[in-house]
Amino acid sequence: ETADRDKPINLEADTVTLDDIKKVSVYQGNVILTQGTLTLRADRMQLTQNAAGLDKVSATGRPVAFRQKVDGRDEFIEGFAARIEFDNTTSELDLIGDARLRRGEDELRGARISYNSDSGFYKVVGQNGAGSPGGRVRAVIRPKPRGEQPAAQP
Amino acid sequence: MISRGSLWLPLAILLLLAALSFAIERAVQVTPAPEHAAESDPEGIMENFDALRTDATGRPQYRLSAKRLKHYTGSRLTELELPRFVQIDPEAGEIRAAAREATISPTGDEVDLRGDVNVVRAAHAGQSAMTLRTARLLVFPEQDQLRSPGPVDIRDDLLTVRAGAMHYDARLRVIKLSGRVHTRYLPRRN
Repeated sequence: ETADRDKPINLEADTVTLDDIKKVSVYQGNVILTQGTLTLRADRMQLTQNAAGLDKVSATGRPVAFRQKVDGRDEFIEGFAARIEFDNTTSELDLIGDARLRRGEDELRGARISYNSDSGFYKVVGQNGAGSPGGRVRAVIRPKPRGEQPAAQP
Repeated sequence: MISRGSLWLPLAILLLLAALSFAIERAVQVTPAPEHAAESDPEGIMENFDALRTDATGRPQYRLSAKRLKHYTGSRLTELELPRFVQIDPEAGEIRAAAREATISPTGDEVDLRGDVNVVRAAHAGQSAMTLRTARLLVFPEQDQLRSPGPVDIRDDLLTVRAGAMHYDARLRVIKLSGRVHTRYLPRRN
């Protein structure tokens, strides 16, 4: 949801290492990041910060998973990948390696998927030899069951 | 992540003030205890002392005060009641450290701060005030290391960190937090 970006970011992990020289903090072990309706789960997250606050997050896992509510709908979008880069300035999530994006019954697969949680816009990139078979983008868009169709006007 | 040199400054200062307390204890002549005093009795006691260290120009740098300082012949330990450390530095801003009690090892290589350990860096030049709270803080001046074996709570206006334990290496400038760590970053200020 768009409102997520104005919410505090909470993080939990088994251990954290803060390196002041490299200006990097590394969260390890069952790492959970939450910001409003956005949840990101990974084995490891590396964070950089600037004067205005938290800047970028690089998460790796088996896989990394994220989940966020869609604006104005009682629906969630979910993503999975070997690595997810999260830019807290642009609210952009970059799913890299065996990337999957799922919303309801619809699913996208590709080597890399960029998703902007502000605009709801996403871009799928295929790549030869990448995780997904043949490296091509695969999309499964399920037709809505007839019961859910709007009733025909008499 | 705690940046802007914030957490490092208060913790680094503790190393200095730990060494200072040992130096003061060595330098000051405490009133010797009577001959028949048992080994477990303090050899010397100093009450309500306040030591100020200045630079070459006489400008105050650090202040160490305590309700009571006791030095023991047998164990060669030194105990401080209600120690108060203050670093007075116009550039870095004032940093205060306090505890209910502190024990200094015979060679001064370990200072053990116990009970309501509180390190506060005052707000200064674009940096908010920062507070570190823990029940116990072990300071190892010669190794430039600090360790808090129990829960720590660190906060400034943008960030809150709670952890089960902390280890700080001032030479590497690395803090390790463990024991399920919880951090909270307040929304970005654009």
